[in-house]
Amino acid sequence: MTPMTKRILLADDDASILEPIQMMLEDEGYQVDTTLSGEDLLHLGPDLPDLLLLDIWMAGISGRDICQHLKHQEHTRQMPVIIVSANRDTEQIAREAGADDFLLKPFDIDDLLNKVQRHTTGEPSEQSSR
Amino acid sequence: MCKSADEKQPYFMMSFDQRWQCTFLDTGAKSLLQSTREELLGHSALLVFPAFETTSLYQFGLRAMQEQTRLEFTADSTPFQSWTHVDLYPAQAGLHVLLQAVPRPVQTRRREGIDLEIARLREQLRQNQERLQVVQKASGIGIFEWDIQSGEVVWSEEAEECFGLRPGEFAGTVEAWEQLVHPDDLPAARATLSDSIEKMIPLDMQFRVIWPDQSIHWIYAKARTFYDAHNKPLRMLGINIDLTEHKRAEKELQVYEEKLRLFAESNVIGLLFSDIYGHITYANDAFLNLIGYTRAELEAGLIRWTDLTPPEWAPVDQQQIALAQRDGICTVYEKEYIHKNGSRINILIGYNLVGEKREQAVVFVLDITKRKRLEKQKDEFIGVVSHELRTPVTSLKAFAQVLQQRFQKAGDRQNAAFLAKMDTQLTRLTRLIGDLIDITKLEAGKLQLHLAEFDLMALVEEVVEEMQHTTRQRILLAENIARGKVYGDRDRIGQVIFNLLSNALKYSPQAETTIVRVTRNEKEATVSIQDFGLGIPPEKQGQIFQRFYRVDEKKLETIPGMGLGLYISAEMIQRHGGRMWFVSEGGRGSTFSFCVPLQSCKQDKTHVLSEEGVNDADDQENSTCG
Repeated sequence: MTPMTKRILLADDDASILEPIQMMLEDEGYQVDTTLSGEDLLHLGPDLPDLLLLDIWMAGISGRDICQHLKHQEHTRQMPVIIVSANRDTEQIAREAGADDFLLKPFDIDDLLNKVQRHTTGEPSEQSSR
Repeated sequence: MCKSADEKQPYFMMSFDQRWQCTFLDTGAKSLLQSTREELLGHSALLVFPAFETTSLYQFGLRAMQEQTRLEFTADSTPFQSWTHVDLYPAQAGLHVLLQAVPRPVQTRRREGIDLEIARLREQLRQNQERLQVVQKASGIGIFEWDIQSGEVVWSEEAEECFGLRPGEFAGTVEAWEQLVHPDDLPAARATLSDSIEKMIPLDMQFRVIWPDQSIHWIYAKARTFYDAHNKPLRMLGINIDLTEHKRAEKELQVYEEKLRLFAESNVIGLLFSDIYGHITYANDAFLNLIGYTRAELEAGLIRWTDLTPPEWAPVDQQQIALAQRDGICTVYEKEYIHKNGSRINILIGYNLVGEKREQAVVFVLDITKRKRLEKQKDEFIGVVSHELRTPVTSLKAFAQVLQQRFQKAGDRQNAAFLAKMDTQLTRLTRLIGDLIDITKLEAGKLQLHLAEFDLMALVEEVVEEMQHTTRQRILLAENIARGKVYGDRDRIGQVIFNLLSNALKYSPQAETTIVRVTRNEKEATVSIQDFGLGIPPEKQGQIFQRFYRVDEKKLETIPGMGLGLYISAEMIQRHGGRMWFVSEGGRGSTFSFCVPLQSCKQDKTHVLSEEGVNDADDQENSTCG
């Protein structure tokens, strides 16, 4: 476990997804904030989370656009983003949007925890686990 | 010989059978040859033409008969004391010969006069020939000769045939002819006949005759009358043709043309005649409506199909035209046109190329814009459904996993195990949903492959390891493994290996092992999966790659599955440019194998073509729903 508590922001417009992921991460000792709105992510304050887990299919705004926006902003570009989607083409979309990694829904808990750990401890990001 | 032969440029007719026996001779020819009909009929051409150019006659006559074509030659011949133009017409079983005297050019005549005369004669000759050519096309040309002074009428056998009579049955008088003519047509026929003689114009008429069997036939008659120096009519020489077949064919043609016209003008589909370079010679209203242009614009030559075609479709057209030039007909394909208002129209197009160089096209065009829109909606629907189904499964799976971990930590191993099983079932559910989506995409030809080089062996090991957790059987990876890269969609190939392996395990419930082999040569890598299970009965082996197919054996009924796995797998491999096959023996097990190319041999067409559709569905997935 990491010495300092890592903060993770979960963005998905489906509460039934947010809830179990939050449980998984909190069980592992992460501090988890959640948001159902994609708009919120465009106005992040100076106190950034250590990682953003971003669903690609957000109501009103595409996760791809949000990711691209964040990666073009000076103060958010260093924040790791993992794109999550049920789309088979998630890997390609993640690459195009400049995300640090991707996770295919439905996923295994081990996959999730591995990727979250890798990106919050600042280990060099492998291209993909698979 | 006719007294006025030289002035009137008479023509004489005779017929020969295939053995060169003379079968018909008109009276003119008789006098020309200075023998009686009896002396000449039935004799060989050599006797009939003692002084004539029999060599040319044989030579040209044989060719005319063999090739069934009209031939002609001109000879400086003795019989006429002049030049003779000879026309040879193939008959059903022989040859009709038309002799026509052509005056020998006389030195003393003025050059100009000769030229004029020759031109006039040529024209006359041409006209005669044209008429006879028309005539010759019909079968059974009957020749008749009427000695107007004696009243004797002579018919050739073909002439008798035209009137439904047997050879020799015709009584040889004008009255006998009149009795055969349809009563309704007789007055007109008589009038035309006497007119032709009195006014010295060639006879040209059609009338009906009633055959002895009461059937009605159309006869076409054409003849010419010869006169003496005092314009007294001597004889009429002509031909008869049974036009009934011709008339019927003509009528059929009319009906056919009418049907064709109705078809073209029904405007159910767009029809056009064009060339392969863009020029459109005809288009029906349906086509014009489709592209939004007027007939006036078409007639002004303002519409070229090449201009209607968006540039990115030009290569497709070129490729299809090249194929059609080879085969004459193209495979029907889809493309786009640009409407006059600038919008795009989806069309289905097909054509025949005709003409010597296959540059002319008969084209049909069907507007499929609406269908395409529906297809797109369907794809969007699939996108939505795939997301809608996966979301609850994702949630369930995440809950199951987090609970499992919590029980594990709390030391409740039994409940943790239950939740692990629940998770396994959810993984299965995910796969089934995936299969349903894949099959819809495959059907629509819109499965997108992400092609790249990857290590096939590593993938096999990964799948085997994953599967090993789910079975008590031992999955053996054959020793002499072949490492190296292959070219394909890693996830899809993994899916195929998974499908084959899970089938192998499923259908060998009693077996202890399943063997996986990977081999390769310079071109392709092969994965084989051998089970020692139930095998496939020979009579079922032809069907197993079919969609929804499951071996319907009683003892296999309990084995679950939708019957999609092999179908999807085989399709996937095919889209990779590979092959799938199997060897199976009932009761002893099966070996399923597939191979994939090592190189990107043909930068997959499926890949390119599928891009558009899949992205449609996925864009939808990415933006619309929540």
